[in-house]
Amino acid sequence: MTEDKFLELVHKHKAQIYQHTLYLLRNREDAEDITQETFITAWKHRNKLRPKTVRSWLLKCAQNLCFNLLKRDKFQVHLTGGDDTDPETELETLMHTHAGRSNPSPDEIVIQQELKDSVQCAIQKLPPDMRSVIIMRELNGMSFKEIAEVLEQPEGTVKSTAFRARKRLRELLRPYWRNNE
Amino acid sequence: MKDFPLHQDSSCMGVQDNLETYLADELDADLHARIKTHVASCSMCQDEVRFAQAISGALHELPKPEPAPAIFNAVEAYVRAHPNKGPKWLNWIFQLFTFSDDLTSMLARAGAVACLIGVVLFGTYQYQQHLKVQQASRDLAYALSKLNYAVERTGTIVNEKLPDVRIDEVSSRPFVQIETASRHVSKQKRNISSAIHRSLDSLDRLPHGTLDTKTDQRSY
Repeated sequence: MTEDKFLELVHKHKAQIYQHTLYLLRNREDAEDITQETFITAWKHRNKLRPKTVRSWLLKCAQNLCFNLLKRDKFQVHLTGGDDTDPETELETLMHTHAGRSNPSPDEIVIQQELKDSVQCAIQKLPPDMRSVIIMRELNGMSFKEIAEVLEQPEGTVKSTAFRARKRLRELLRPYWRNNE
Repeated sequence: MKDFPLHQDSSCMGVQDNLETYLADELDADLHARIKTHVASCSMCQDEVRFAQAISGALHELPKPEPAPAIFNAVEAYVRAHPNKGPKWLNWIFQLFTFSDDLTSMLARAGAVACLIGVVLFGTYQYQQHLKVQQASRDLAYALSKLNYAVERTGTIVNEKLPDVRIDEVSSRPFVQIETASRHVSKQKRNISSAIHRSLDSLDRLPHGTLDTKTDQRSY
């Protein structure tokens, strides 16, 4: 693969890889580092890349790097930090930057908007495997088959994980939903 | 499940457990119908369905932050600092057969495959022609040796060597170079020589391709 061809590929997939790592790691700096490392790893293994599977390959690589990072004790420092890199604060900030998109509407829509903020935080409380499936399914719009290829799991297992993740989200968000009723 | 509403009968629990699968239409028809019937008559489960759908809506609208341009710049710097080794044309060919999937590359790939097939077919045809020439040469040499043997058996004295028979590699046809006949050659020798000439002429008049590997040596 030529350098220019590879850089086109980076340009095409960088946003998706970054979003995936950001939602997994809950930290912007780590997400940027992992995204960068993913593409550098891809360049080192460029002979293995194929057009039809390049997205799965990149996501799999990014996911492995993320999980390795999550396993490190050092990473826990970020989870307890109270500064501007605090995960929930950062994610809420991200959320509010997109709040202006919704149209003003009755109370139900207001509740929906508030629910979005809560969903954002609830996702972060999911276990990494569930979070990964939810991100790929909902954020990246991938099919269960594609997710199964990335995770190297049977499609049925992926579906089961996705449904359990949604159920877990309902459990996490139920108090909020009932308070707004 | 501790937050689930007060009326925790089995049907409501069933909806709770299968709601995501139900909404994704992944349940078997019977269970799907039963849950649908229950939801239609249970206000609490209807609310649960609305709740799940609201979560789905929120998930679909998750923010998608863009990465900082520095990421791309850093990757580009690394790639430029670690370029492909070897000549560019070799990398181009490698890419053509491994990564590219656009129309131009597919056409180039098809052309390359067609050329390869052509080279293989042409080589096979040439090799077969070469085998035919070799076989014809062996057949002719065998025929002349038999003729020579017959002459010796009949007591004919032949001082002159038999015509030098070879195969024209270009036309694949046999031709004969006869040494200048000796002025002292006997009538028998001339007769033998003319007989060989006649036989070779008849071979020469055969259509091209007659002298092939199928020639039965016993016919001589």
